[in-house]
Amino acid sequence: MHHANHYYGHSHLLARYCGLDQAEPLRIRGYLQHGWNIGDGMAPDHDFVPGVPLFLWSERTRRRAWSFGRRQTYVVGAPWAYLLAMQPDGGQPREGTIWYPFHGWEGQRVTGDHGRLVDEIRAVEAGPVTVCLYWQEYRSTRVRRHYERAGFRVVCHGYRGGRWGDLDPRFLHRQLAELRRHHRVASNRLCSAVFYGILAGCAPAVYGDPMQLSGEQPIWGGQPRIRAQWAPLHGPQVDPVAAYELAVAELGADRLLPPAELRQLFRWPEPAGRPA
Amino acid sequence: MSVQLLGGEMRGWSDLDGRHGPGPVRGPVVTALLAAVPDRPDLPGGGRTLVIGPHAPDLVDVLHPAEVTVLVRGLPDAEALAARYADRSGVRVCCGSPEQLAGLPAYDTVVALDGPTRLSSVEGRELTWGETVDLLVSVLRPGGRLLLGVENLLGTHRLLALPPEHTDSDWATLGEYDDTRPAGLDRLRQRLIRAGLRLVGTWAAFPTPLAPVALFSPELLADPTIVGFLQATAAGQPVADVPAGTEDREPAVPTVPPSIDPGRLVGADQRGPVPTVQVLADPGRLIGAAIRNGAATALAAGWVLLAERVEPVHPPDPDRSVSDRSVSDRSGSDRSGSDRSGSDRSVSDRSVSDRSGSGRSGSDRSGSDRSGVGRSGVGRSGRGGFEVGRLHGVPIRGDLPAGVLRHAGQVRQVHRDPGGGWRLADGEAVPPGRTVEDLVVAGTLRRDLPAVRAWLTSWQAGACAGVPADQVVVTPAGTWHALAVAADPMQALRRLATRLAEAGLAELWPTGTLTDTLFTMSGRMPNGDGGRADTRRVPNGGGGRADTGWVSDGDGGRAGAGRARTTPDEYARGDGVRGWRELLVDRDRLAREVAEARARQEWYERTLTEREDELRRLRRIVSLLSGTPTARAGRLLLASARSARAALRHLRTPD
Repeated sequence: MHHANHYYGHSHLLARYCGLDQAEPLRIRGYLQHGWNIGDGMAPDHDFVPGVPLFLWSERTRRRAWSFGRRQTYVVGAPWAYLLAMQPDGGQPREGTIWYPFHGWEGQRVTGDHGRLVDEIRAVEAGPVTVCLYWQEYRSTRVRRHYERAGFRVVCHGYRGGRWGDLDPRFLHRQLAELRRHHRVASNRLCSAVFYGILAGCAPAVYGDPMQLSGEQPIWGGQPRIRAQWAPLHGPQVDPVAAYELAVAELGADRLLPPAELRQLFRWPEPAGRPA
Repeated sequence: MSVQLLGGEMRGWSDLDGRHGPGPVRGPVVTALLAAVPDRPDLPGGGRTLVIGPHAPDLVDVLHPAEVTVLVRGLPDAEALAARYADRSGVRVCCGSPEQLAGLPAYDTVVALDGPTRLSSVEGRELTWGETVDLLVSVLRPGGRLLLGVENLLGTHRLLALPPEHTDSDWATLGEYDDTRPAGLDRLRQRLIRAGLRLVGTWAAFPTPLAPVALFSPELLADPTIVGFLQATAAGQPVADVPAGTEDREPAVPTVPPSIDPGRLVGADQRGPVPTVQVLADPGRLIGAAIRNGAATALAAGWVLLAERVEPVHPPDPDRSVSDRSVSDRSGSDRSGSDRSGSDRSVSDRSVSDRSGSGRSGSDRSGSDRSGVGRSGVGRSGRGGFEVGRLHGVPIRGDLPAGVLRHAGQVRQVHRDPGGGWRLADGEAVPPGRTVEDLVVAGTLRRDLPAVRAWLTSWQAGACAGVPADQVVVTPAGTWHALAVAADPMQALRRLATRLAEAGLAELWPTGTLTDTLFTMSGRMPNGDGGRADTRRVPNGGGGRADTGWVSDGDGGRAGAGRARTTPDEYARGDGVRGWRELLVDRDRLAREVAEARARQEWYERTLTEREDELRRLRRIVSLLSGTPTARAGRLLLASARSARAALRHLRTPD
């Protein structure tokens, strides 16, 4: 329905979970939440068509979306949680911290002091640090060098995808592989990547200059609300048990649907070889 | 004043503006009840009071303890309230989800008139009904009071409702499928008793739970001698049938008032367009039937309960749901607290019996809160009031009202008369008896036209002529009491005709003439000139003397339209809420009238044809017989010749 359904390889991943060919992205009859947020789960600039269902990650988001007037809202859980369900942790060795500096999305620009952030990371992290940049920042030599000069390993998970083009079905697979190499996941803003890391077994941390998007509007309460409402996830050291409970709730990892039910919701076909 | 954020607050959400749901608890009747609950005399300044959930600011205005905390979940509501009470030093406004209360000091009074179902925030835990009630009890100090409103999911307002549209506040509404929610008043009272409360007062709300026009104690509702009074006042003017700006409303569907600000909260000054209530039938008729059948308490739209905490409650255990703790601690095995009727009931009845000492069964006691009141008895205090119970060992003086109602634009309280019966707060007796409408209906059903004629003429000949028949009570002693202000008598008659038709009684009268017939029977001319017809043919029905004490400006004489404060239009509509039942009654009646009109038309056509044939024959005869004798003889001869020729031609013509 919407090109955002294919971001980060979400539709590919769910198709695989449903036993379907993931070479071509399948059309999801609805809007699939593609990132964690503190509103109704959808992008603020999303153009809604009445009657098109919303597939949301968590029950709390569903309740919030309902209170915003959204109807036909269904909790399906985050695609990330499905990926983890399909690829259990193999117990590989972990080391250091993977750090996600806050980034803007296409067309957005982040203003902040990367140098100061590097200092803050150095002050907190004892082990090796991998800095994961969004593709826009990763392409910026200036930004990348801030972190490389600090001795950090700099990576990028890739391009999340465009309007039905340049899709990357392996995006989340690479992210999972990186997260499972690290003990900790950290960012200067609470975001999807931190929740993903927690669910993937990393100890979380949120600290440092949160930076600013140019022209950023604090919708739904913005950063002040996030820091107040999810206070247990903020700080250099966070209670991992409480963090895991929160991540399970926010990613709907306790609400995953069986493949048949997901196919029914998305109006996807039965896998080949099965009676339709 | 700044809002204290407790956590779990909903930004951009308002319960008070009525845009996301049915709006707050509101209206002068609830406000009057809140004001009538006496302050805690044993505490300096009346102690600490918590108002939790969506309440119209008018309700908070009447609270005057030294310290009032208002907790709402929507930040815009909290900010509006903070602005409203910026000058009231004793008022504190908090915003957040109810579970945050666990970290605050306990209260002496908790007001939750909207009930437990609209307290949880989408940003907090979704508490069950039982968890929320136990939470409210847990924040009460021993001896503290809880004023709790609970909607009756089998109330008249829901029995006649069309499938409801979900509102934005229904993100997880369990309703009757919440196992922790006690079903019915008896189980509700038992559940509160098990939570450690002692019941002090109960009121049934009509016709809606959020904006009632009448709050009656079960004891009052159970009195069969005042059925007419109860019928006339319980339904009130239907919520969707009042002129905009004259009544508090409970929208069936969310309306979109202007953006919220302190002066525009629902229940304050905000008045938007009156929404259309879609119902299966006029709830007023069902409420009347419930009262006549002694089922009004069970079928009320909601209940308001006043209870005091009588024993310490353990602080909430975060690892264990409050309802679980409460149930297991107090009743041993019943998780639902409501639906295991067998063992649950026996336990609860025992506990009630032990507490009240009344020895009555749980169901028998539903007529009153003797469980709380009966211990100290109801008797005159030294100050002239009535001691109705003890809170924290301290007697309450100034009795709780048995009823609070709004009628004819005024809020009135009903109290038990120590000498028997019931009295208004100003000392006037509540009139026993039936309404004129009931008496007319009974006479109609008996086909006792002389009695119907007597009631109608007495009504229209007296001071209550302009008062609707359903708002006039005739006592056994024969006195007449108007419970509403008078308007145009003709419109009162039309209203009666409409109500009789909607009650399915139209076919007992000549087709299409019910209104005219009533006019004529009442001694009035049906042409609407308001003049009196000859009434000498009507025997005196015993009426005529009107006690208009209910009308504040009653003149004891003929109640004319000139002094009516209610607009004539209000009575002219006269048909209450127009539901599907009323539409079907109309349709059936009109279909019958059309069929009858067609039958009459065919009869007229047939008769007309016969008459025309007859007329033509007669005209021929007349023509033959008219004129001078010579001309008559000539025409007769010619006619005979024509007849003879025709006969011969007929004979010659072979068949």
